[in-house]
Amino acid sequence: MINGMRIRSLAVLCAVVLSASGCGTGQAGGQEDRPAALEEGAMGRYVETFYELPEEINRNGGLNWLSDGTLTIISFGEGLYRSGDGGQTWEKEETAWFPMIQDVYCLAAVMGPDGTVAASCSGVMPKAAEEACTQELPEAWEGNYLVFGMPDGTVKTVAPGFTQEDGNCIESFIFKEDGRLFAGDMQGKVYEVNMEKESFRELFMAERSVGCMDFSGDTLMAVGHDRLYLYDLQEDMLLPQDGTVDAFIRQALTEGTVSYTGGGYPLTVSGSGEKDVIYLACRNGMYRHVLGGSAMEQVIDGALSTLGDSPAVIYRVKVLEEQEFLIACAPSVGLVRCKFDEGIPAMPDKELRIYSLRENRSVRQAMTDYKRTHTNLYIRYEVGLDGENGMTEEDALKRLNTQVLAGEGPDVLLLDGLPVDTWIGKGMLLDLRPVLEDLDGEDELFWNVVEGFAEADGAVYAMPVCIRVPLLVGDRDLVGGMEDLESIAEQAEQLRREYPEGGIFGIHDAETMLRLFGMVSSGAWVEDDGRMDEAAVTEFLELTKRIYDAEMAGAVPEQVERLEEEAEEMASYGTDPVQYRMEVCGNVLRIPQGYAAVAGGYVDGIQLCLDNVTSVLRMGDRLDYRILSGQVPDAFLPAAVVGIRSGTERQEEAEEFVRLMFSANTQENISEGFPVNRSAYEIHFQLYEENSGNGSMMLPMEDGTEQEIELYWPDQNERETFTEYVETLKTPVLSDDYLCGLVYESGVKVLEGERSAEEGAAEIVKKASIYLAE
Amino acid sequence: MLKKHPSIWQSEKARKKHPVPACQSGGGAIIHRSRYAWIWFMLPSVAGVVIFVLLPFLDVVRRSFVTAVTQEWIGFRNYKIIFSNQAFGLAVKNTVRFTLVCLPLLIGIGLFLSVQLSRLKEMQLIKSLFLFPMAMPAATVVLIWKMMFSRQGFLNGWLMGAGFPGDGALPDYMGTSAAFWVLVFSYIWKNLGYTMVLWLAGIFSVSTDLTEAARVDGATDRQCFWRVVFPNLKGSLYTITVLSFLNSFKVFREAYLVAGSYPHESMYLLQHLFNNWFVNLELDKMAAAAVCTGTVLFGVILLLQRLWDQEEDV
Repeated sequence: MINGMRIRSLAVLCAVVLSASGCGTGQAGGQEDRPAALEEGAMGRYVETFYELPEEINRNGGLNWLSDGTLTIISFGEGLYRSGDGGQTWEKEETAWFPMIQDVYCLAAVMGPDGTVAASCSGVMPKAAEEACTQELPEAWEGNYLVFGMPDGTVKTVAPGFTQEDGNCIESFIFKEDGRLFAGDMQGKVYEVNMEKESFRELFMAERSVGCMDFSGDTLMAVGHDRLYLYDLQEDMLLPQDGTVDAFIRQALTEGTVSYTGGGYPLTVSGSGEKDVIYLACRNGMYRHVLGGSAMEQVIDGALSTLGDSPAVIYRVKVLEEQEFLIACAPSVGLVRCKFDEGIPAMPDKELRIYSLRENRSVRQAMTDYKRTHTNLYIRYEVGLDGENGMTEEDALKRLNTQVLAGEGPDVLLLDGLPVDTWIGKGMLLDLRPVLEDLDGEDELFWNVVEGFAEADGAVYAMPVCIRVPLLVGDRDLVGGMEDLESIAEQAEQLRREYPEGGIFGIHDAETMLRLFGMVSSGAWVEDDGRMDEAAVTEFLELTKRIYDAEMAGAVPEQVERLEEEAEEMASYGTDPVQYRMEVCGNVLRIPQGYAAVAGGYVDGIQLCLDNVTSVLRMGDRLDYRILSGQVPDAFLPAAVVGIRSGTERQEEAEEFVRLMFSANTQENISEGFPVNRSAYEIHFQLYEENSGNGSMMLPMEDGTEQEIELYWPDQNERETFTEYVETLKTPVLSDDYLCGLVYESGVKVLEGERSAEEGAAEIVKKASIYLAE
Repeated sequence: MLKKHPSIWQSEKARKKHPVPACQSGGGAIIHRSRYAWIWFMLPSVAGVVIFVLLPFLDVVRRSFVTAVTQEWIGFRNYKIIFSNQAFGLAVKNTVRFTLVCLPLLIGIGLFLSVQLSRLKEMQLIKSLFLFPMAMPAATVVLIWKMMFSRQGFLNGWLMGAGFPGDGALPDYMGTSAAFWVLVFSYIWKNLGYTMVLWLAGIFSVSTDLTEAARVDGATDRQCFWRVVFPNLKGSLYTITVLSFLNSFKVFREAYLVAGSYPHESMYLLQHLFNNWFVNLELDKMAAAAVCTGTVLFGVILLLQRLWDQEEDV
């Protein structure tokens, strides 16, 4: 009896302990776990083979499978590409229909099994399309039109009746194997299109526009934002919803979007040779489902495949025979052929852990490249703030610290948002210099950037993947005299004396003004011993106030009002107007608008950024630009700063990963700044032909009229000038958000005259004393 | 048929032979078992304290003598650093000040209100309402706090309505030294009800025979309270003091949520410092500070207990 009680007590105790231990398994943060379902020692995994697409292919209509076994891709900017060897090599073809979709905005383009082409475009019809149009259209007609190219070479264009005022157009097409064409419009209607009769038969209307479409037998499948629409083409009726798939879609499409403007999808559906068996592919992996069934079986784990990488937007998935898939990803990734290999472990035995506070595209790109050559290594990428669990930055840092102290820290870290000085000071990062010195030839780096991160002993513990360059644009003589913050203030005052009215920087908000110059000055506010440099802060506030006072002394109320309206409009779109004014690409347009004489801010790329600057420079002989220097001379703004944790057990793999992050191949696709790799930097400039037209912008002018500005891709001279400036950059400015916040908060009161610069600086130093004393 | 265990049978026979008082009953194996039975009751909690408190604290003590990451022995250097650290000094000063201000206020106000309320007949019904602030989620408290004490808050609104301040300058309570008193107010508001419930329990446990006897002997209400009731509340006083002391550390949650990691310096507490040190991986300093703080807390509790024991002996 007593023994029985003891056993029961023990059982209860065990149950309590087990249930309590179960409470702690929830995951916070965006950690991608090793698939737990795989048993130790299990064998078999999908292996990926990558086929590159021609470099010039950008936005495209996705992959098409023709009845003769060839594959085609219709690139919206380049035309038709065909592959006869399953996607390994591609050849461009001339077609009669391409001129009709060239140089307009193309929304969708597909090719049927027999080679028939259907494309949907929007805008003013090119002349070739106008001539092929079967309808009488009013003069200067603008709207959505369709292009049908037949296998015999005949082409016709049709306007389905959507005008720009409707805000509607056909945005997706799909050919069935028997040649029938189906289309989806922006309002969610799905049609069967009769190309011969030029008629549209509405099948059903989805709640919102549909994304990827495909067929399972005679069932048309269309991915909606929260469900999969199933339409029986034989019975001509919408089928009941499949609850399992719908729940899956709701979970997978957290952003609620079903398509990207680039042509790809976040989630695709594909039919297969088996009856009612469909496959859904998304970032989590590839899933098999039997229509009407209750299971979603994961056949490919996203964490172990390209599907899990953010650049890998999915265009189409073709289910091949014998456990094979052909996945068409974004052009930067290409085609991926997945084949099941029974001879390799289900789970790689090695793991490389990567951490960043926020999702980072450079890391994802490097992961994609790394996975191609390291199939036996599992990369676990943890994002501290994935925006899903309400975690604050501080919570994420505490969690990371706990992991590090428990000996489970990441191998590679992105140090943006992390206390870099603490990590370096405590000896928690490895010296990257040997890794960076290995990079030569086509992988050579901008060494002025590397040396900017070198410590006194020459070690480089952190290194940015890319940089942003602060520029100052304006009249040649004016910006020529703006060498530092003091001379900027002097020149601004001089300009105001010469021109009592009009914008100088076109900035009438104290906080924006402080942030603009703080961006290139904050590095001077803290002394080497960790104390706040009160004299430097006072100087910053005094000089910025002089610039602000000069600006406001001649501010034109109408201009101020117009700029405030613009800022409000921007905020209504979800763009932070203050942050926007930190970029020179928008500020530089104020010069031709007449709102500013000088523009300051950083450039983080060429397209719609540096080309804005160089295009504006072409508008006036007297315009020029230089590096914007504040209190820190030759400053640059690093982005995606990488480090390797000292004590990592995967040092070799971590170093290889970092080496890859700085290689030309990976850096080619960087979009957060200018690559630090010289070859990749050059390749960025070669994206378009120099001097080529890169679109135009309509600028609302001061007098209410509009002026068009043609954008040109920088030419060789412009590229060389900019590169010379980049080579002079020496000092990285890694701003401390807390200290900068204090300076801007008190600085606003100084600029608005509520207190003197000395009082403001004293207040800042007092507030910062606890922070710095810790 | 029920079979008796041999040892029980023997002990029954022994009891008949040598009768013992009921509280000492049982002999032989039963006495042997009951003597050590407490071990089984104590073991889980002792094991819990050892595993989850004592051993980790010993590790903290060890860490206070080594560097944070490389674990090199550096003797008392961490202690020297924290005692010369301005932030640590400020945090200790504020924490001690907060405790010294809040504890007497809470205990005194709680006792005063409890005595007044104990005279009400409906006391038992409304007693549970006093616990309401304890049940309020921290997020709600913080929201109310912000609505009340921000520059554009209710308090300033009421003051403006009443004509204060005359020059129209609205104070930002959380950005000035008033933040400390806001914190004190929040602590007292939140813990007063709970403290009153404890005081009331103590007051109602004092036998009315004693107070009635005192009244018969001619004692006034005040004399009845100070000479009869209050001496019987000293057990409650110890419990309330220790609980209030420990609860004073929990006010950090509200302070952190309303003002973040770096509030106004008047409400910068030790918990802020520990929190920030952990974020910045200053674990060596944190360990040294934790050892100092733990030692002081332990000393204070021992002192309180000693004072209490002395009172009992008297």
